[in-house]
Amino acid sequence: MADTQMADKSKKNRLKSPYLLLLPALLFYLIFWFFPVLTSITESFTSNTGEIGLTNFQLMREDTLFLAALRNTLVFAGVSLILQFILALIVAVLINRKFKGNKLFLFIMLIPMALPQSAVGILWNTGLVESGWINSFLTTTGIQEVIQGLNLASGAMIWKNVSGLEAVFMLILIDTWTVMPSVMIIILAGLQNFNKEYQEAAQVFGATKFQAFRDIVIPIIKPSIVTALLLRLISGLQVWLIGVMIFGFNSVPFLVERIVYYTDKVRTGVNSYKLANAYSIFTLVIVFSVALIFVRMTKNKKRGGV
Amino acid sequence: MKNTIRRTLLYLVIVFISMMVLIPLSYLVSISFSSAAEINDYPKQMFPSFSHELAVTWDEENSYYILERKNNAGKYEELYMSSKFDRIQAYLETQLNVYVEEEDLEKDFVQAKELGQKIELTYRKSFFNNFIKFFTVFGGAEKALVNSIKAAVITIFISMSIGGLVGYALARTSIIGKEAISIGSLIVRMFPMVSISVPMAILLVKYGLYDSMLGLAIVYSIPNIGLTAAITRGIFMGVNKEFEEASMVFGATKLQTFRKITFPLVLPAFAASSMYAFITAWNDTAVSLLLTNKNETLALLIYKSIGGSSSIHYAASGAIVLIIPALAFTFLLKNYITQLWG
Amino acid sequence: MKHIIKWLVLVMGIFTFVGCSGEEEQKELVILSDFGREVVEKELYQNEIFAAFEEEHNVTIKFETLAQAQDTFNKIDAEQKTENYTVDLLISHFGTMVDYLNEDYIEDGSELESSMDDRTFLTTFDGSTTKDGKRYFFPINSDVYLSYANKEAFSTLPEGLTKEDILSGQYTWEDFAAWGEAIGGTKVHMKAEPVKMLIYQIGGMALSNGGQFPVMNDEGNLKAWQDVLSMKENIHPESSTTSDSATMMAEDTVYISFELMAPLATAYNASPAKYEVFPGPMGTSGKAGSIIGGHGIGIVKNAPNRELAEEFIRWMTAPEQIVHAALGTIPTIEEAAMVLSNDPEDLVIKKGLETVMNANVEGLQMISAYTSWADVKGCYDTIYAGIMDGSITMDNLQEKLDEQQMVLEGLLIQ
Repeated sequence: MADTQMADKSKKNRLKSPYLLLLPALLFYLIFWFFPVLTSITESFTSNTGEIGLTNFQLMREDTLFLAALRNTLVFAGVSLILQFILALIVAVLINRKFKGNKLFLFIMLIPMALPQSAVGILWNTGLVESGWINSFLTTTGIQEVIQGLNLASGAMIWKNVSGLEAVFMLILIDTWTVMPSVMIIILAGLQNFNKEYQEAAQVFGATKFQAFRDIVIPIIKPSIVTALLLRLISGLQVWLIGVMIFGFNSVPFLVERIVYYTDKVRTGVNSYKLANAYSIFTLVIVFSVALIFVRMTKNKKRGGV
Repeated sequence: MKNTIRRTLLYLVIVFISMMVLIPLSYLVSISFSSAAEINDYPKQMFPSFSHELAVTWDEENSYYILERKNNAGKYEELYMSSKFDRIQAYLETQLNVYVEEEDLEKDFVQAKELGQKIELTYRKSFFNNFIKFFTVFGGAEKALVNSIKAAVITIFISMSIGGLVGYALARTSIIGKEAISIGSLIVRMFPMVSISVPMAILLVKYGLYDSMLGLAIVYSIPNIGLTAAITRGIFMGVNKEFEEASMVFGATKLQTFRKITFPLVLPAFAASSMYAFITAWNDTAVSLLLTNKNETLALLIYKSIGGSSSIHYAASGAIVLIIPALAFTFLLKNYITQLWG
Repeated sequence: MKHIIKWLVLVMGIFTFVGCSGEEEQKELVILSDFGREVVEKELYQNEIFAAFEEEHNVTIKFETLAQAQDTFNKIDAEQKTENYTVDLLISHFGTMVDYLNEDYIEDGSELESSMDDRTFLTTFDGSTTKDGKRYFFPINSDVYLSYANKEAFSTLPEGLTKEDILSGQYTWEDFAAWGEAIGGTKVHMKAEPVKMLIYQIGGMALSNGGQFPVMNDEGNLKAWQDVLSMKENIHPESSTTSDSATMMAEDTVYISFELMAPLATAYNASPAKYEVFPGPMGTSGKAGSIIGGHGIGIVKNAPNRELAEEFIRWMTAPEQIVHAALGTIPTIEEAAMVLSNDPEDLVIKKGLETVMNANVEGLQMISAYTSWADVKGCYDTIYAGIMDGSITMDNLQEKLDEQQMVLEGLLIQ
């Protein structure tokens, strides 16, 4: 009698408890994420006069900086993704080799990730001005002379004198400096779990080190890579703070920069709230679509091919 | 021979890449120790300096002392003119981080008048001046520090507990919809945090959580729970099931197994994944700006202190203070970080 | 598993409790300010104004500044809407006062003013600080535009222009442009950061030509933009990404600038030996022009320490304190204007006062007439951007200005 009761109890435990594990998370997100998002969605489809429709999205479309924001955001996310992937891969491979001090190197590479947003702003603002530390470095090390000697520039560079896509590329470089470690960690983890024997086996069969790397290593650590890149893509599409810290509002627009502009900078504007919501929903759609495309693309790749 | 060359090449590449991180940091540290006069100097210093080289001349015609300073390019630059030593002392303090008694100043300066020529003086800087000033002028820095710690700890707690449960469920149980959960945790990151801020503020007020560290922690946990779930899932999957099965064969219940076998095995990796939650909470400015009032985090305090362009050195010193705990945390956990994503 | 969940919930509950308590309940007077962001300014305020008040009334003064005026407004707005009142006093720029007054966030201070009969506030700013004849904000400082230059710049003056001319204000915007060209390179500063202060620089330039503010296409404004066109090659590009010239002048990145007194004073006081300060250039009207700005202090509605706040205003606007409150700009009490010395620090104030007396000045009381002042600024930003990228030249300038005038008029509240 007692035995079967015990057995029933544990059976019950096993059925119910897994979903109980998910309950806190579900509740949490329902209250703290779903609700606000729903509010935002309904607000974006309600115009200022109370009618349901797409007026807010029309307003958004008419915003002079809309197209530039969209273009900048997509270019930023795409190019920074590629750049960060390549660099992170290189650094991860380097760290993965056995050499003295590779733990120290790992730590150094992690530092940019630990910096607060204000520190990053201070760092690059003081660097990019004409008498900033970037030019100071070039001058003290003599590189400036080399540059001028090669006639690449006539004096100290005015880094901030960029606009449009040039400015976006500059932001990509700066962002890469900060963000590359987080991609690198994930790839490194994948590499470290990877059994070297596969690679050695391939070499026994006549493949070069590079071929072995490309055809064996990369496909096996692909899940790690895809995860890392997907996370980066989602974050990259929501870039805004670095652009505003260096160039201010309106100079180099991004989608989320527009949201912050209308939520924060021009709060008293008549259409601000509606525009902010329209941009928010639009951003959600863009991020979701791009993520979807990305996942599709990486699923279709054949194993062993690039 | 070939190996040595390759080794050297490897080290060169490593050093080069390391410099890309360390050099900008060095400049930042140097700014945080700089006095007001030095932050406008050119070329900027890579390392902090400990003293100033000054020169004083007595201007007979105008009856005042002219103070000059040797700038980074090696030239003497005129800075300030006055005949009153209290003014000169104030100037040295505010612009050069130099603290000298009035009488000593007078003794030094008067030589220029007597000798009728330019005299050179070296004054030591009060090295940690910016840091001290930061904590005294921006009242509430200690409180902000405590707040940051609170917010970070609570965030870690919420993310790890809720996320850990989900991760365990994903790894060890046979529930349906696992893929949906993974996708869900990604979708949650797709909606900009800034857009949530306004309805979130109202929500928090309703629950009485506005201007509290718990309120902040909740918002910080939103993207982190999903991340933690993914990480802990990997961790749990990495724990060898045979250990658990063996312990249960020996009569332990599921809970005992978890407590005595599984948990200790995953603890280091668990701790490492808390790093993400910590950094989100510790470094954030945008969310705390909107959702707090009297109780600011340290990161927010520093953001507020970047008032004018001429006080960048104070902001930098505050930023350095902010960076140190995050760096320490990262350093302690660097060995475990890679176990998270395996 | 169940046990774990219960345990976790319990611990979370404890944390909630801990998280909610422990936040301070201290008797302090909270001042939120759009002025005094620099560390040096905060220190001066602490030493010259707060310390004595704190001692006498046994309180702590919490003086808080945020990065920009919008942040300040957001904070007050959030507090008023959520009925979570912590801020007692608000120091606001004249331009943003209208936002607070429209939402009725400031207490009526007319009684307080009449009780302070030993002082007369300058009436120049009544357009912003008062509403329907009632006093809401008490002006504490006022700011005009002056010019300053690195002493090095005087060694490369254009033909026919002497140092004396410049120092006495007997020079025009053409002279200014020619000077920039004579120095060479990009040594001229322009307050060009978008949605910030370009509107006020152009406004000042237009006023010196007898133009109106804010108008895009009248004669005075056309002339102002033509002057910008002529300076175009010598304006430093970083002008578009920094809000004031102080750092750039200190780093020798630029040599000459038309600037607001407050940042000018910051740069000047950091190394007085480096610069000369002088009135802004004259325009076609024969006078200089400037937008007048400044700040005022008001009591926030439902302030927790109402009486203390009133005492503080009484203290701060007294002639002895208001000179300190001005921090190098113009004190706003007639009585205080007499208290100026010959030291370098007071030099800037004197020049400012001269400008207020002798130039064409205009305040910012019209901001409330527009749906979005940021968009008004946008009109000016658009013309500037067009000039800088070459799409606007002397030929199509009038046409483009007419276009933006239409936009500007469209922003008026109907």
